[in-house]
Amino acid sequence: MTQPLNRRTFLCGATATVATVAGAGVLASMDSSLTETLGDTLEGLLQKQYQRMTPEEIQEALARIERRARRRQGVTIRCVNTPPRNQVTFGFALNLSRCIGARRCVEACFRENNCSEHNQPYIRVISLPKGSWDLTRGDHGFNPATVPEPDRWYLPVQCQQCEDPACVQACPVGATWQEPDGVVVIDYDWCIGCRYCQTACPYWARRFNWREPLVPAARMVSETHYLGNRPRMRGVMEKCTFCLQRTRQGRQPACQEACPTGARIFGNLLDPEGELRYVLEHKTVYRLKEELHTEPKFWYFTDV
Amino acid sequence: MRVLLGMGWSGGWRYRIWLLFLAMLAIPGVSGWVEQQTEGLSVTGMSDAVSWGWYIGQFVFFVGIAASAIILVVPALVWAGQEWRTVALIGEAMAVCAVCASLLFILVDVGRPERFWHGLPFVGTPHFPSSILSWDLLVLLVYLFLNAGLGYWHLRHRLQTRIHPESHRLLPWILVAVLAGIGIHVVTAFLLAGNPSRPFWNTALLAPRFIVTALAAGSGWMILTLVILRHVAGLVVADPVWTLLARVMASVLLINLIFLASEFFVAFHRPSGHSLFMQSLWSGQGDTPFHGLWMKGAWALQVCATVGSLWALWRGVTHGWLVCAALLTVAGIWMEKGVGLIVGGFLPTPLGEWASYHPTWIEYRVTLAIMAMVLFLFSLLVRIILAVEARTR
Repeated sequence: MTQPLNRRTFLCGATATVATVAGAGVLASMDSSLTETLGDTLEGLLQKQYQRMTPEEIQEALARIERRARRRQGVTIRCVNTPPRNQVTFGFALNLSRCIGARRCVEACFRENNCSEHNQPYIRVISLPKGSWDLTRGDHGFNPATVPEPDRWYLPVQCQQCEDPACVQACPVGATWQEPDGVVVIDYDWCIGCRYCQTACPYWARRFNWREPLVPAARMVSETHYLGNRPRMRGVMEKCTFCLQRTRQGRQPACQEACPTGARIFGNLLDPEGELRYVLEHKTVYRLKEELHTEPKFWYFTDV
Repeated sequence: MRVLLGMGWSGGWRYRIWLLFLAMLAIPGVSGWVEQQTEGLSVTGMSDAVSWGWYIGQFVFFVGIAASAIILVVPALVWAGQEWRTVALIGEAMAVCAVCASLLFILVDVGRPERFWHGLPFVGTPHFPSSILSWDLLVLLVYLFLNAGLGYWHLRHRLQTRIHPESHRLLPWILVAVLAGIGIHVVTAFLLAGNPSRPFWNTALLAPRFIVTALAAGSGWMILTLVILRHVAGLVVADPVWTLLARVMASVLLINLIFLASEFFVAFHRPSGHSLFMQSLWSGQGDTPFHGLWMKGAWALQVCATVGSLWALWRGVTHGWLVCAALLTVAGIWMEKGVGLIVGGFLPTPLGEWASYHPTWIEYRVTLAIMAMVLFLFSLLVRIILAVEARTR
C-alpha cells in the first residue's frame, strides 16, 4: 500500500528542485562580467515584454541599457524610445536599373545598426546573371575588381517589413511584432532564441547572435533606440528595422544615405505627394515572392 | 508514491552499475551544455543558413516515439486480457520518457533558456493560437501529464487492489491520450510543413508521413525494448504482443514506402523549389556529399526494414529476424526524420544559397547526455513496473 505523501516533504522537495534548476539557469545565463551589478541583472531577467511595460518601466529599461553599455563596452550611448509618428507607414522602393552592386548599403547598415563582427549583415546583395531571376544561380560572395560587371545584375534583399509577416506569426512568445508605422521589430530582451522566425522568413532576413556580439567601442553608434540599434546580447534574433532610430526622427535610413547611385527610395506610403507613391503609381513595380502573400512593403522596379 | 520510488532504486549490483553508467554518460554532455551557455550556440555546427540541426532533429524523432507509444498501449488496454497490461504500462513509461527527451532537446536548442517563462500563460505572452510552436509546447505538456497521470494511477490501482484497472474506467482517458498522441506529431509536422519559406517541408504529405514513420519507429523501439527486458529482467511477453507489434511495423512501413515513392516521383519528375534539396543529393550541388550519403542510407535502410519486417512476419515472428527488422526501422527513420529532413529543409536558403552543416562534439555530447538521462528515468520506471508486477502476481 502506498502511504499518502507527506505534503511538507513534497513541497520542500519541489521547492528545492525548482530553486536548484532556476539557480543553475540564472548562473549559466548571467553575464560573466564581474562589474555587472546584480540588481540590473535581476531586473533584466524579470523585465516585462515591451508592449506591456508602463512608461516608467520603459524608462528604467532604457537606463539599464545605457548603464550596461558603459560598464561592459566602456561607451556612453543614449537609448531612446521614440514612438511611431501618426499617419506614417514606411515603405521602400529599389531601382534595379541603378543598383551596381557596390554594397555601400551593406556597410552603412552594418555600422549604423551596431552589428556584431561575428554576424552576417542585414542586407544581402545577390549578383545574378543577366536574363535570370533564379536565385539559386546567384552569387552571394561576388568580389570583382570593379562593379558593375557587364553580364550581371544585382538584387539587394533585406527585411521586407511585411504587412502579414510570417516571422511574427511564428514567434511562440510574441517577441516580434509590427509597429503602427509598419516596421516589424524585435524586443531583444523578450526573445527566447528559438529561431522559428528565422525558419519562417521567406527572405532570409533575420540574423541570430550565435555568440556574444562584438562591436568595437570605436565604431559604436551612440544614438540608439530600444527597438533598433541598441546593443544586443547573445542568443537573440535581430534584423533590419528600416533604421527606425533614424527614420522616426525624420532622417533617412543608412542604406539609402549610402547608396552611390540613388537606387533606393524610402518614404511614407501614406503621403500622396511623396516620391515613393510616385514610383508605385508610375513604374512597373514588383515584390519578391509576392505569391506567398506576406505583403512586403518593399518594391523593386526598373527604369526600362 | 514513496513506495513506488523505493522500488525504482532497489535492485541488484548489475542494475546499480547500469544506473551509474548512465549517470557517467551524462557528465560530458552537461559540461558541454554549460559551455554552450557561456560561449553561445556558436559551439554547435548551426548557422543563420542552417539554423536548426541535430537537436531539433532529435526532438522531432522523439516526438514520434512518444506519439506511437500510446497508440501501442491501446490494444493492450482496450481489447486484450490482463497479460497485456504490463506492456501497456511500459508503453506509458516510454511515452513519458520520450516527451521528456523532446522537451529537453528544445531546451538545449534555444539561445535563452532562462527566458522559457515568456511562453507560459499569465506570466508570459504565449503567442496562441497563431504560433504553431506555442501549440506544439501545449500539446506536448498535455500529453506528458496525461501519460504520467494515467501510468501512476494504473500502477497504484494495481498495487492496492492486485488487479489491473477495468478497461471501461481507462477508456475515456485512453481516447484523449490517443488524440493527444496523434496531435503532438501532427502539430510537429505542421511546425515544419506550415512554412512556404521552406518548400522542401511545405508538403501536405509531411504529417501523414510523420504518423506512419512514428508508428514504425515506435513499434520497432518497443520490440527492441521488450527483447532487452526479456533478457535483463526476465519480463515475459505473450506471443500475441510480438505478433501485433510485428504486424503494425510491417504495415506502416509498407505505407511509408508508398509515401516515399510519391515523394521521389514529385521530386524527380520535373524540377521545382520543393525538389531542389532532394535533387541536390544526387547532383552533389552545394557541398552536400555527406548529407547525400546520409539520406540515401536512411532511405535504403527503410526499404531493407520493410522487406525484413515482411520476412519476419512470413517466417512467423521469430525473434532474430524481428530484432533485425526493428533495428533497421529505428535506424532508418532516425536518420531521415531525425536529422536529414530538418537540415534538408534549410537547403538551399530562401535566397538560393547552399550551405553545409556538420554537428560538433558539443552537440553529440549534449545529445548523449539527454538520451542517458531519459534512459535513466525509463530504467527507474520499468523497474517500478516490474516490481509492482512481481509483488502482485
